[in-house]
Amino acid sequence: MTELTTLLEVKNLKKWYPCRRKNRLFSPGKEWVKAVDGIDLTVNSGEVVGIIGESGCGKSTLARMLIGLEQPTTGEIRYNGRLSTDLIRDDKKGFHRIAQTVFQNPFDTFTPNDRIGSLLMRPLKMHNIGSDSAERRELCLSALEEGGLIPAADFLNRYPHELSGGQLQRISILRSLLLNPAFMVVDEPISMLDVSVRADILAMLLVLCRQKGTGIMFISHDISVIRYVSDRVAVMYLGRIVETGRTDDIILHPRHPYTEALLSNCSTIDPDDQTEVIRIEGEPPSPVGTGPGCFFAERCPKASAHCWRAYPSVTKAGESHEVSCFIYQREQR
Amino acid sequence: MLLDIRDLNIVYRMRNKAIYAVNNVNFSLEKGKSLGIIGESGSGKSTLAMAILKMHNLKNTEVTGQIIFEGRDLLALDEKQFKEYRWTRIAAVFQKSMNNLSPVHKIGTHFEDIYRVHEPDISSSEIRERVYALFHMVNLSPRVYTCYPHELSGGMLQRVSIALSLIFHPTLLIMDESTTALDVITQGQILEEIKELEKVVDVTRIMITHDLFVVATACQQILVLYAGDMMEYGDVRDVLNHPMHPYTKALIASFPSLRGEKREVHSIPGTLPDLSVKTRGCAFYDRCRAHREICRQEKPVVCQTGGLHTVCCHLYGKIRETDVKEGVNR
Repeated sequence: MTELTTLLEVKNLKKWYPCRRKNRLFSPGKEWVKAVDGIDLTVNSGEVVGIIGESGCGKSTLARMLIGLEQPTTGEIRYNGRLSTDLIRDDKKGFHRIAQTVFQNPFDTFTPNDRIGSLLMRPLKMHNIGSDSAERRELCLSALEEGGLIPAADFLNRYPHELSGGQLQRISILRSLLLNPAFMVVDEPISMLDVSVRADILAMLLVLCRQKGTGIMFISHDISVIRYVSDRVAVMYLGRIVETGRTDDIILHPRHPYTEALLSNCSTIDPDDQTEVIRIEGEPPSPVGTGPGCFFAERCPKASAHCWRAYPSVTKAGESHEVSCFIYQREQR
Repeated sequence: MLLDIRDLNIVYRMRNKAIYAVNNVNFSLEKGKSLGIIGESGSGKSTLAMAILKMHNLKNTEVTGQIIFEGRDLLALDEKQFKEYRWTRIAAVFQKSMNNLSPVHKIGTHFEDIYRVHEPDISSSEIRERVYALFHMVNLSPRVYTCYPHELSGGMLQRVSIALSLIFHPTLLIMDESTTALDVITQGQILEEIKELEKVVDVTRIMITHDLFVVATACQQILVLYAGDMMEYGDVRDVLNHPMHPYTKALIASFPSLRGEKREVHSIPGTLPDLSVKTRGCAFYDRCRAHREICRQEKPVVCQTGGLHTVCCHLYGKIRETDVKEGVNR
């Protein structure tokens, strides 16, 4: 594998959506839904970073900002040291050759009345890859073969509805990879697929990305899948990252009470598994008007009075393992 | 015995072809032993559940065999007789509860409607009281009674659906992918709550899912379906710890592990066979790594391997060869 170089650097990234106040007479001014609220993250080339968190924690908003579908409120996103806003301003098309994405539902990804061939060749044409359509066709054929869709020529003439979900998701991944992106966001790529085909899709994604050195951000609910694919994991809660570290550090030795609870709630397929479930009550609080304290305080089984007063800063809990929780700040003092 | 299903066959007839959705399924369910039915899409698991509730349109669906519930064959009952069973003794929770509730009615109205149909003389305050008791069982606050569905989160809506199904204290509850659309924490919470619930009300569950995790945490028995055929049936512990059928083995191998040793995951090559063709041999034949000639020629017979554990595979059937190389191991 090539030397690890920082591919993507995210600094203090925020996305706040304005929303209407309930009582505008007594408290004028805007109120914000803080979907993403200050995220620092790096992704190296050839690395897979997994993002886990409950629904509504801002995972997908983060992903949309990284690929330029959403404008960040503040903060910087740098690809190979260059700001993404500059990249988009200078060459919007070129930006899409750096950052690509694969979406969750392969059945909705493709225009139903185009054949797979034209769907695959369109991005090549738009980016002037290949001199003529015969050459582009060859590129598509070799891509399909790489992805295990054989005989490839057959697939070019088919319509999306003729293919199974697994095949469509493969094509979706291959289409994104045709542009040789340096970075890819993969948002729940296998949750719509049958269990028996999931492993192959993951294997294909990982092999192709290792070959090309693509950095991946892998978003999923399924923590066992995250464990399987990723090198590093970031745990998100209400728009902030509460814990990051190497995959096995996080999954086997979680530090943050939220991560502990999240993991204990994930069952394994071993019926004798005796891990005690840590119950956390209620739903995540609303990301509107979050208080000064730790966002998790009201559901946290280990919260103390201190936790309501300030948001804990990032503390090192081991080599490349960082956690935002007062419990570990006290230990260090 | 609460439920006994014998030789159940379900065929969807279409203009020029037929879909053989469930073939020769046999199993029985004891009171208090919840069953998980697992299978991929197209394996006939929902079709099977719909047959228990008699929800099929008999104009184009052939349901043959016996579904014996509390000593009576449900398939022999007509619609009027079955009304005594539907929702009062057999109830169901479906996957997308947000789609099952009317968006323009308050949650309480849904409960009132059902009560009014079954018990026309009941008073509003009585309904309210009973619903609050149900809400308490599923961890919902009474406030929900006057909410509209859009005001609630997915987990709360799912709890409302569970409460709706428990109105008449059914003895059999069918949960069709009822926690699939939820996220991990909510799913974990609801599964725990359902297990707790069993201590309070006398209800036996059939949980239909494609997720082995759900079966491993919340069920005592497991039935593995593939292309409408039974593959393996038995105690969850037996089947998951010592799977016998190559399909079950392959299915388990396709789940990544969460704790302990990190292991390779393998998927099952190939796709589901065409359900409109009645296969002569084993339905799993062309995807099976341990297949032999006989698997293509003959349907495997059900073979009891001790206790409840039954497996439908030639490897364990008539010809038992010790030197058969088992293609897939855990």
